[in-house]
Amino acid sequence: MKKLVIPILAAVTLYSCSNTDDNTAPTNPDEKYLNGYFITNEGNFGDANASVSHVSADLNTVTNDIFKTANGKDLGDVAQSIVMHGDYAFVVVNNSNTIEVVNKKTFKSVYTITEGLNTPYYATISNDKLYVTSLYNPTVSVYNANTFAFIKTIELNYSATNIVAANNYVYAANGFYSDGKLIEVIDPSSDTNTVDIAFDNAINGITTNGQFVYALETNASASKISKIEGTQVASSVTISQGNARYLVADGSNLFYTAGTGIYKTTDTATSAGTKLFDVTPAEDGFSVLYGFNVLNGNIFVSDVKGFTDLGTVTIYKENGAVTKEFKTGIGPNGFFRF
Amino acid sequence: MKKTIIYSLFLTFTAHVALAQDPFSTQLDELIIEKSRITTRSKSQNTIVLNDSLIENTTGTFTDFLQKNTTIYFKENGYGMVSSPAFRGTTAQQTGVLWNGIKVNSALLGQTDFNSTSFKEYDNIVVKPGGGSILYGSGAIGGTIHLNNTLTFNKAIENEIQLNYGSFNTQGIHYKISTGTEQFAVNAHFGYNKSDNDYEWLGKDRKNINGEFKNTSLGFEVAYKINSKNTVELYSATYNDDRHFALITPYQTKTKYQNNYYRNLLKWHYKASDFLNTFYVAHIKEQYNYFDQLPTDSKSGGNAGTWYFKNESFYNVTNKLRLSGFLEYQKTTGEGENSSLPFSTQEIFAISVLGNYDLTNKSGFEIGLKNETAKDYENPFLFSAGFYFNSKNYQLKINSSKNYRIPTFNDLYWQPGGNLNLKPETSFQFDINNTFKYNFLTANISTYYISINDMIRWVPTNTGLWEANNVDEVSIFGSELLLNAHKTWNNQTLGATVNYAFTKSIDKKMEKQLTYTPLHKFTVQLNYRYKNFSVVPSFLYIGKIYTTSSNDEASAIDAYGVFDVDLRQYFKFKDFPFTINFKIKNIANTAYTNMPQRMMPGRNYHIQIIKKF
Repeated sequence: MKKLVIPILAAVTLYSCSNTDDNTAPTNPDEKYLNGYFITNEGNFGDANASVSHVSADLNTVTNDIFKTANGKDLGDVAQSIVMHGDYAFVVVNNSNTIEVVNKKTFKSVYTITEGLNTPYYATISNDKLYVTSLYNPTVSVYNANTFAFIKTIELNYSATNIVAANNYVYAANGFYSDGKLIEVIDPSSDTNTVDIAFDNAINGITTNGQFVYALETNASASKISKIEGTQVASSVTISQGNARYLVADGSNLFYTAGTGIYKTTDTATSAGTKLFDVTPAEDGFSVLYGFNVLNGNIFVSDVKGFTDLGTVTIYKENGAVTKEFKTGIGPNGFFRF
Repeated sequence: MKKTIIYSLFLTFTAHVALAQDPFSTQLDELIIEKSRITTRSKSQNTIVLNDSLIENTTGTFTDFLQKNTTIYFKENGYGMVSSPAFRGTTAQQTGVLWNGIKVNSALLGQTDFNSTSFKEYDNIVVKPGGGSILYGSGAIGGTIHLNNTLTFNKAIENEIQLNYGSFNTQGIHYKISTGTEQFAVNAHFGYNKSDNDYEWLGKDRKNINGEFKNTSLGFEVAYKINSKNTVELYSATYNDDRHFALITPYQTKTKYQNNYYRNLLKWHYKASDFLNTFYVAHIKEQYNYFDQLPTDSKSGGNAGTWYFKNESFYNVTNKLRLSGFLEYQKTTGEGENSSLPFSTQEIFAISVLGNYDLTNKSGFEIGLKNETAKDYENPFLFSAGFYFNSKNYQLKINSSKNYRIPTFNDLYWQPGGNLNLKPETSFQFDINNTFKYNFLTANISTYYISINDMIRWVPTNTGLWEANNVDEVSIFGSELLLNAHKTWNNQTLGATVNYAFTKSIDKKMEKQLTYTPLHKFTVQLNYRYKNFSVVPSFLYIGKIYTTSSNDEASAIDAYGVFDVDLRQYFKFKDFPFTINFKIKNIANTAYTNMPQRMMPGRNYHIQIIKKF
C-alpha cells in the first residue's frame, strides 16, 4: 500500500508544481535537469544495463546514467522510450516489463508500473492517460497518467510499435516487426480501437506536429509519407528512396533518413525531402543511425558501436556541421524533449 | 599418456602391433588417447586427458567440470544458463567439440552450449589447446574438446550407478553398464539431472527466478570384431533438455529453451600390417524450441541435420615416414520452425594429407595440408607444420597452423540479415609447448600467438536491420601453465593440479583487451588421501573482465575467487562397497558474476553416492 500512497501524493504535489513558472530558480538541489533532452540507452539485450543520459538545452552539459545516479538501482533491461507528462517522465523498459515513473527534474523514481505490461515498446499521453504499445502482443495498455493505476488493455489487430496522440485520437502504428500495415486509431474517450487506416507497406515512422499525424511507409525500393487528418489520409507523397526511416516533426518541418542521408521537407508533406547531408559513417561501417531525432533544430544521431561498446551521439546542424559529439551508455536509441 | 586409461578397441590393435614388432607402436599410444583418430597429429601439439575418475567424481554442469579443470574460460548467463567458452581468448564458435571423432558444434549457432551437453557418460574427455582445423574442421581455432566413449572386449559386466542430491533441489542419477566378449563390446548409459536452481542472489535481496532445468541423456556403443582385420563400431546418443531462462529483472516475461540432439555414428576399421583405415558414417541431428512467452505455448524453433562421411587412411611408408589422408563429405540441411530461417542446405567436401617424419628416435616433424570446397562461401587452403622432441625428462612441441571457422546457418541464411557474402573466419597460430618431468612433478608450459581475421558479428545497419558481417580482427598472445604433482607414502597420497592461463586477446581496431576474456585464469586442485578417505579442496580465480570494447572500467566485471571442498569416503563393506562424496561449493559464499548482473550461487551443498557392481 505504501508504494501506492507515495506516488499519489507525489503526483498531486508534483503536478501542481508543473504549472509554476519554469524560470524560477530551483529550490531543490536534486533538481539537476531543468531543460534539454533525454536519451534512452537500451543496453545489451539480456544484460539489464540500460541507462538514461541527459543533455542540457545549450548542449554544453551531458550527464550519463542519471537513473542509477538518482536512485542507486539499475534501470533494467532495454530502455526503449520516454514520454513526458507534466513533471513526470515515463521510461519504458521493454524487456523488464516495467515503466519507471520518475520526476524529470531529479530523475528520482516515483513509481514502477508493472501491471498489464508485456514487452512494452512506445508510449504516448492523451486525456491524462498513458497509452503503451507491446512488442509481442496486439494490445495497447492504458494507465492513469497521474495515479499510474492500470485502466485497461485495448485489443488491436496487430502489434504496434510507435504511438502518437493528436486531436483527441491516439494512433498506434503497426511497425516493422508487426504483421500488420495499419495505423490503428484509438478513441481515448472510450479507449477502444475504432478505426484502422490501411497502408501498402510496413510503417517505419509516425509523428505529429500537434495538428496532423504523418506516417512513413516503406519497402526496399520506395517510401511514402502520408498526412493524416482525423482518421483519414489527407494527402501522400512518394519518396524515391527505399528503406526510409524515422519520420520526425520539428517546428514546421519533417525529417527522415535513408541510408546515411538526412532528408527534410515541410509539414505540408507535398514534396519529397531534400537531402541535407550524409552522417559520418560509423567506425565499424555499420551501427550509425540506430537512433535519430530532430529537436529544436538539433539533429541527433547515434552510433551504437555494434553494442560492443559505449555508444556515441553526434548532434548536427542542418548544414551538416557537427555541434557536439559525446559518449553515452550502451545502445543510444532515442532522443526526447525535456 | 597413461596406459591405465586405455579401454580401447585399439588394445587389440596394440596387441597385434606388439606381436608383429610393428613400428606403429608410438603412433598407437596417441591413438589410444583418442582412439577415434588414425593420425600422428598429436606429436607436435599438447593434449590433456581428463580421465574417468575425474568425470565420475563431478556433479553439476559440463561448464563446472571444464571451468574447474582446464584453462578454458566460460561465461554463463547465471548458473546452468547459456554457457560459452573462450578457449585461448577466442570466441565460443572457435572452440571445436568432437563426439567420438565427429564434430558436433551446432550447425545453426556454430557453438556448443556447455550447459546443454551431457558429459558424465564419457570415459575420457580430451582437451587439446590450439588450432586443429586440418583434423577437426571448422571451429578448431582456440582448441578442441573431445568426448570419447571406449569399448572393451573380453570384459566382465561392470555396472556403475551414481546418485546425487543437493542445494536448490538439485538431483541427478547416472547409470552405466559395460561388458565385452571376444567378439562384442557393449556399453549403455543413462543420465538425468534436474534442479530448481532458485538460489539466493547474494546482496540483491532476491532469488534466481525461472532458472529451473532438467535434462536426460541416453546412449549406447557396440563394437563387433568381424575378423582380425575388420572391426565395426556403432555409437548412439540422445539428449533432451528443458531449461528455463533465469530472469534478469523480476517482472520480465518468462521464457524457456528446449535443446535436443540425436547422434549416430558407424565406424569401420580395417587394419593390415602397415595400413590402417577407418571409415565413418554419421548422422547428427539438432533441434530446439524457444518458448518466448511462458506460460503460453508461443514458440519458435529450428532444426538441422548433418550427414557426415569420412575416410581416414594411415600408411606406414618406412619406419620413419608415415602418411595419412582424409576424405570428407558433409551435407547439412536446416530449417526454422516459426522463425526466420528458411530451408537451407550446406555441402562441404574436404581432402587432407598429413605426413610425419622421424628425424631421430626422439625427434621429428609433421606437415598437413587441407583443401575444402563449400557451396556458399570460399574456404581457405589450410596447413599445419610441427616439430617434436621427446626425451625422458623433457618434451618440446612446436606447431604452426592456419585454421578457420565457417559461417553458421543463421549467419548465412537467416532472413533478413543472413549474408551470403560472408567469408569464413581465418586464423594463423604459432605454439611452443614444453614439458618438464622431474620425479613426482610434471610441468607443462605453452606460449602461443594467434591472429584471427574476418571475425563474424551481427551488427545493426542503417536500414534498421541487423546483418552478419566480417568485422573484427583479433590477435592473441598467451601462455598456459599446467603443473601436476603426485606423491604417495605409507597410506597417504598427495596430489596437486594447477592450471594458469595468461591471455592477452587484443581487438586490433580498439587495441584493447577483447570483451569477456579475462587476462588471468587460475585453478588449483589438491587431493589428499588417507586410506579410504580423501579431501579435495579446489580454488578458481578469474581476473577482471571488460564488457565493452573500449574497456570502460565502470562496466567491467570484478575479478573473483571461488573455493570448493569435496570430502570422499570409500566404504569398503565386503558385500556392498560404495563411495560417498560430500561437496561444498563456493564455501566462502562469494557473490560473483561472469556476465553483467547474472548472479551466481552462494555456498551450496551436494552429496553423491557412487556404487559399482
